[in-house]
Amino acid sequence: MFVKFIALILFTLLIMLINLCLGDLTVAPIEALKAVFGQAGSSEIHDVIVGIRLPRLLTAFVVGLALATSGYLLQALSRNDLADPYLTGVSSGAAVGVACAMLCKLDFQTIPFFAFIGGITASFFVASIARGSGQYGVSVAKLLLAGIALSSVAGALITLAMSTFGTQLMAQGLYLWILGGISGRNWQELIPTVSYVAVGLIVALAAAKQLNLLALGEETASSLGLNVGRSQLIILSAAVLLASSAVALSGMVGFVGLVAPHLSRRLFGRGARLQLVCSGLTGAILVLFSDLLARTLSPGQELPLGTLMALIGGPFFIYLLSYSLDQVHSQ
Amino acid sequence: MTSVSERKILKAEQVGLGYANKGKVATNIIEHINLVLEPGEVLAIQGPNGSGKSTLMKGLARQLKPSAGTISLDGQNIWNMSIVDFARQVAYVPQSLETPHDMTVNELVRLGRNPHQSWWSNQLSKADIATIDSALERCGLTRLGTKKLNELSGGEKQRALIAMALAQEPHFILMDEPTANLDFRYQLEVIAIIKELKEQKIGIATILHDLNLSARIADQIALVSSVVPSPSTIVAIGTPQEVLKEDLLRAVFDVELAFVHDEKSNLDLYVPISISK
Repeated sequence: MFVKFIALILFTLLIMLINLCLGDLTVAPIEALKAVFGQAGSSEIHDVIVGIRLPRLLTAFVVGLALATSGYLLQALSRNDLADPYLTGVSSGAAVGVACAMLCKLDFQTIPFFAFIGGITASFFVASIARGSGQYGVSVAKLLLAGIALSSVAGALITLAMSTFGTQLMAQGLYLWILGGISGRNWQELIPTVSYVAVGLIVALAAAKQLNLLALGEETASSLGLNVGRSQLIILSAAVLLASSAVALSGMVGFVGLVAPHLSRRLFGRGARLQLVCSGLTGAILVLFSDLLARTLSPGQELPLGTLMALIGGPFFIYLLSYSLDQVHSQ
Repeated sequence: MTSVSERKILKAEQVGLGYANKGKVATNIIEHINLVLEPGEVLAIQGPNGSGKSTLMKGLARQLKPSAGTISLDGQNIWNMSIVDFARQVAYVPQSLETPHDMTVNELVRLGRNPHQSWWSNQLSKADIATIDSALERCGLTRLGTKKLNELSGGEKQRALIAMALAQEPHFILMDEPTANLDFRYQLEVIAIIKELKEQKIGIATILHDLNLSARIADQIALVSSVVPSPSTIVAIGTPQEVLKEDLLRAVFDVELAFVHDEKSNLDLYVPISISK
C-alpha cells in the first residue's frame, strides 16, 4: 500500500510537470521547472509558466482534490457508490449561491462562502427527501432523482435571475463559468479557495474513523457509540465545503467525485485515512489530465473542462448504474 | 474478560415504543413493557411476526426513544447517558448487516473497540488486540480473521457480528434474531456461544422464533403479543416452565401445539401441529 501511495504521488507530480510543459507553447521540462523557481530563460517563458500555467495547474489540482474527496465523503455517508456532488445537486446549489454573489457584485473572496450556503441548503433538501419516512438509511433512487430535480430548478433559477437582473456581459461570463473551466484563474482567486479546501480536507481526514463506522449503517454505528447525527452533519458539511469551493473556482465540473473514488477503490482499496488521500489525488490527476486534453486537443481553441469531464464521466456513470442496478433494487 | 463486580441491571418500566410518522403523533407499537435483565441471565423474547419484538429490542438498545416509561441501566435512564458510555456497557447485534464489500472479519471486530477509543484514533493498544483476539476465539473465528465478510456463510457472519459486540466488552448483549435464516447446525452454534457468554456473566436479551431453542437457554421468556387494535405488550414473562404453556401459546400464536418429552435428551419439545380453528 505504501509503495502504491508513493507511486501515486510521483505520478501526480509527473502529470503536473507535463501540464506545465505542454500547450500552445511547448517548454522543455527543465526550463519549466527553472521558471517555477524564478529562473526563467526568457520573460515569455516566465509569463506563460508562472503567470498562466502554474495557477491553472494548481487550480486543476485543487478542484480535482476537492471534488474527489467530496464524492468519497458523500458516497460513504449515503452508503451508495453512485453519490457525487454533481449528481446529488450539491454543485447546483453552490452554483446558485455563486450566481447570487456575482449578481450582487460581491467581492470575489466571498464567493466560496455563498457557494457553501447554496450547497448546504441543497444538500439538506436532497438528504431530507432521500431519507424519506424510514428511520434509517437513504434511498438511492430518491437521492439521485432529488438531485436531478434540484439541478433543473437551480439551472432555471440562475437563468431567471440572469435574464431579470443581469447584464448581457454578466450572463455570458456566468454561462462560461457554469460550463466548467479553469482558464484565467489568478492567484488572488486561488488562494482564498485553497484555504476553504484545506479546512474541508482536515475535517475529512479527522473523520476517517467515523466514516468506517457509518459504513456499517446508522443503527450499528450508533450501537458502537457513535453520535450518528452529529458525525453525519460534520462530514456532510465538509463534503459540501469541498464541493462548493470547487464550484466557486471552476463552475460545474461533473463526475470527478463519482469516477475518482471508484478508480481509487479499485487501485488502493478503502477504509483508512490513506485511501481518502489516494481518492483525492486520483481526482486531481483526473482533472489535470482532462485539462491537458482540453488545452491540447484542438490547437488554438479550448474545450470547456466540464464538457470534457461529462464526456468521460457520463458513460462511466451509466456503466455503474447498469452494473449496480441489482444492488440498488435490493436496498 | 468482563468481570462484573457491581450489580448491573437493565430495566424497563412501563415502556411504550413507536415510530413517529411525518408530522403525526407516534402511535405505540408496543407498550406497558416491564422487564429486568441481570448479568448472566438469558431473556428470550418471543411472539408472532409483527408483534413488535424488534421494536422492543431497538428500545432496549437505545436506538429508539421510548414514548412512555423509562429504560434504565443501574438506575440511570439510558437516555441520560452518553452514547459512548452506553456502548461500553450494552452491545447490540443486528439481525443482519450490509457491510462494505471488501471488509474483513478482523476489520469488523476491531470496530467493536470504538467505544473504548478516542474519537479520532483507531490505533489499537495491546489490551485492545487481546480483547479482539479473545472475541474472535470465543466465536470460533480465529482462522477466518482475514476473510472478507461477504465470503462467509450465514452462520459465520452471525458469529462475526457477535464477536464485534464482544469486542465492546459489554455487560449486556442484545440480539435481534441471531438464529434467523440459519440452518440447524449454525443455530446450535449460536446457542452454544450464548450459553458461554451467560457463564461469563454477560446478560443477554435475544429475539428467538424457535420455542425449543428458547426453552433450552432462557432463564426468562417474555411472550409478546397484541390483541388488535391495541398495541402489543408482554402477555407473559417468567421461566420457560411458566410461560411455555399450551393455552397461552395457542392464544398467542393461534396454532395447536404438541408437547413431547424426549427421554434421550431429556428435553421438552414443542411441535406446531395445525392452525387453530
